[in-house]
Amino acid sequence: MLRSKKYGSYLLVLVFVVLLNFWLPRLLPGGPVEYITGGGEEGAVFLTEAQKAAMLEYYHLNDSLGSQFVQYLKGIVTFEFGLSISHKAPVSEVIMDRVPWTLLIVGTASVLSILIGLLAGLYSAWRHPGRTDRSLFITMLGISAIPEFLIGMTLLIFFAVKLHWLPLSGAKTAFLRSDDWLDHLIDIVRHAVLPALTLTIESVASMYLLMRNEAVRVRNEPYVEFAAAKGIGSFRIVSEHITRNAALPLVTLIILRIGFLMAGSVLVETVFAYPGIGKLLQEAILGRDYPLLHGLFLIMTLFVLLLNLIADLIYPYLDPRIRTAGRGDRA
Amino acid sequence: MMRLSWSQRIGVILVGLLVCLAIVGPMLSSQSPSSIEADRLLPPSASHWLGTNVIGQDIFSRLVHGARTTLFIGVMAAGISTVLSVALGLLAGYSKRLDPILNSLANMLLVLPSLLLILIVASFTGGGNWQLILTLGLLTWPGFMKLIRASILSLKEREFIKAAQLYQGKTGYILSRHLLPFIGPLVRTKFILSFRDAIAMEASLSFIGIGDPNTVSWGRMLQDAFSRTQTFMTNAWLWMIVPPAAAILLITVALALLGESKSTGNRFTAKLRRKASHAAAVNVVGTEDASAVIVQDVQVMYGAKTIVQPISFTVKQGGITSLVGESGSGKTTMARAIYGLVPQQSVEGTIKINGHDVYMQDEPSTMQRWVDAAYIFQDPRNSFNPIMTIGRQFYEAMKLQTTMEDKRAAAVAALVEVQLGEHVLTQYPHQLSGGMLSRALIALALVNKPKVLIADEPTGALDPIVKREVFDLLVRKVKEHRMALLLITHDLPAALHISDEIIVLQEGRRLSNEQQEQYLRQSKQLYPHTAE
Repeated sequence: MLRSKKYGSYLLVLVFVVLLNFWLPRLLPGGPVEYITGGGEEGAVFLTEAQKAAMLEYYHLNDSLGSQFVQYLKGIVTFEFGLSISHKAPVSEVIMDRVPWTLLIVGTASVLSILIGLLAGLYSAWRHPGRTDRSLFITMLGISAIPEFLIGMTLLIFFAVKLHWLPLSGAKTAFLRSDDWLDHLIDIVRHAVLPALTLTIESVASMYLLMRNEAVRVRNEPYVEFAAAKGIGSFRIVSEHITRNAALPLVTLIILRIGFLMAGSVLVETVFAYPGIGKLLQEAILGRDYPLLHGLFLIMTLFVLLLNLIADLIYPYLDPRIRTAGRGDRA
Repeated sequence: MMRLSWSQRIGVILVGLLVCLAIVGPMLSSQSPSSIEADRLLPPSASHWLGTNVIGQDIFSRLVHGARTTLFIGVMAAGISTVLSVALGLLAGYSKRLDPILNSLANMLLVLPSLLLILIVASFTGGGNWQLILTLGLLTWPGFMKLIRASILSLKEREFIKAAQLYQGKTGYILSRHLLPFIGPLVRTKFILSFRDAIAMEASLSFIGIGDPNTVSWGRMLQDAFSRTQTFMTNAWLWMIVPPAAAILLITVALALLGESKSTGNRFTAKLRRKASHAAAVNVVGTEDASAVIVQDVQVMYGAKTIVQPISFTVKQGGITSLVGESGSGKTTMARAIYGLVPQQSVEGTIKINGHDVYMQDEPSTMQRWVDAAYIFQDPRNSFNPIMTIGRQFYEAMKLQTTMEDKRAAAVAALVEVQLGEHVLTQYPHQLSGGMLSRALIALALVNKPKVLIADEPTGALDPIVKREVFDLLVRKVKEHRMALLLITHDLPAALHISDEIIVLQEGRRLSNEQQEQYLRQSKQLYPHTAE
């Protein structure tokens, strides 16, 4: 009953984004027609008269709003968003080209930050209260406040500009002349290090804060003191009792953080000119490439909703209180 | 006013400095932030304190004017977001009709990461500072709105609100007079965090290139500098990137430090640094003295406050001693101190269990928990780990057996003693009733055959009929196994009924013999039917 309500709200979010995508540019003063034809002082993109006319025709901007909307909905169902203005290629193709790069850095950052963040959080809770815990906490609190792009910029200046250890931008060296697949692999890894590291640093801090606060709460639960009273060693208390109880309510939040990471990739990929969908989104925003924007926002929303769904589906398997009892009321 | 931690003080100072910079700075700089008068990429000098940028604008002037923009956007967006959070939170918490609508709207907005949501809106609205302020303000209220709603929902059940409603206080009056003061700290935190997020978000969006290219803000300065390759060819990044980056870094970190919510009070517990207990090979200590528990001049302090005044007593082997007193008399603290559950530095005096010192200078105590003594907590429901089977919680405490089969057999035997079946081992605590959990707890206390049992209100959480049964079972088992029992209770009749000795605590102090006589006599008048 509760769950179907949740799925309903996911559906609502999807509808909300779909509507926002369509109506927002049209309801605002000017709207897409103005954006496309206007140019003027804001004109970031230069278009010839013929292009403008073709675009108006292509996007049916001369039709009634109703038929435009029907057209738009049809496109969504079939995943056909039309041609990207700046790339002159079908939107779905343009996006699919870029998805693997984002998955590479977001995936790496997710795995690393979950591991490091959770362990650091546990360590901190174990040393709580105390100086080690306090300084680690303040450091992480500070890091979590800094915008991602600043961290990326700092890393870029030190490791790429000053030290020349790692490449400045891109995902691989263009026209790398080597037949050895290993060289190509190393090249790709070297390019991915800084963007993935930036995302990891930001995300470690937030994972740490989640885990530390939850673990400190669990550490004060009577059953942890009881475990200590039973003469169990402190390592096993942390690993068996605190970790499991603290991680359980966090599972959902942690999976959702991966969605945050993907949103954060827009900034990080911009800093490192990394050709993932984040950078693509930035280009689409600046180039007013509406079909591409629609496609990207829809894909990102679907990705986030999928993560939500996964979190909801696996949670009952992890919590025996929900798994075994039919009543499922938590004390 | 609340007291600030040192990290919060640093936050206050930094935010104050940056606000001063935004107010005073533009008066100090003679150049306009957008005029192009000087040469390009000049290093810092007397006329251009922070040098000039790629098109020859004065960076100091841009930095201080940018401070105004950034702080203005931050304050306005945080203000709108906070007002919305509070207003909608109060409404949803207070009005049954509006609650479902507001709550599901908040849930919807919370599904998407706020950066994604803001990107969607900002990329279509584009535009100036006010569009940004509205976007940030209107999309970031749900998180705290839900917190405020939850606290209103629980406050509403409290007596003084009910009383105000009974006297037909106007809804608006109740909201502003009775409820607002309670959510004050929440509102303060919300404003500071929103301020921080708005600044970070503004900087991020400007950096991506969203927003009015003509405004001067820190994020915009970074974008200007970063998008040109000249910045990195020379040392120009030192004055083009470092100042605005440092400014953003300082303000966001300062606000994060400032907004740190007070940590909830730590419980009065010993540090988690102990090796696992083991069954001691030789157990001949204690021959010199027949006492199972010796407490000598023990005093327990919590900070500067003395919880237990110096006290001495012993529990004879196989004897039952009850520690009686009202709640708040220090009896639970006393019991926890005896078992070594409070921090070492807060205990003075000597405590021995089975001849082992419980607190030793600079080395771990040789008293093996659960082997030399066991300790039963007040509420069995809170004592068992909720997501671990009863069986595993037995096995991890069992030290006499080494193989899994032996452990299982011994656990089953212990369960049979308290009339519980084998199937309990595979069950989780939530599947058992309170009475069954109490029995399981007694069985668990027996598994290592300790000589001493400390029981803190072992039946306090049970209903009256089950209480009696469990209590009798506990006493029977203690006698069967010839254990010494230290019982902590406020149930004087029960204590009188079973104990060899009774110790009455009042406000952390043991009553003298005459006082105790009088106390017991008074109680007997209160409960005449138990006088035997």
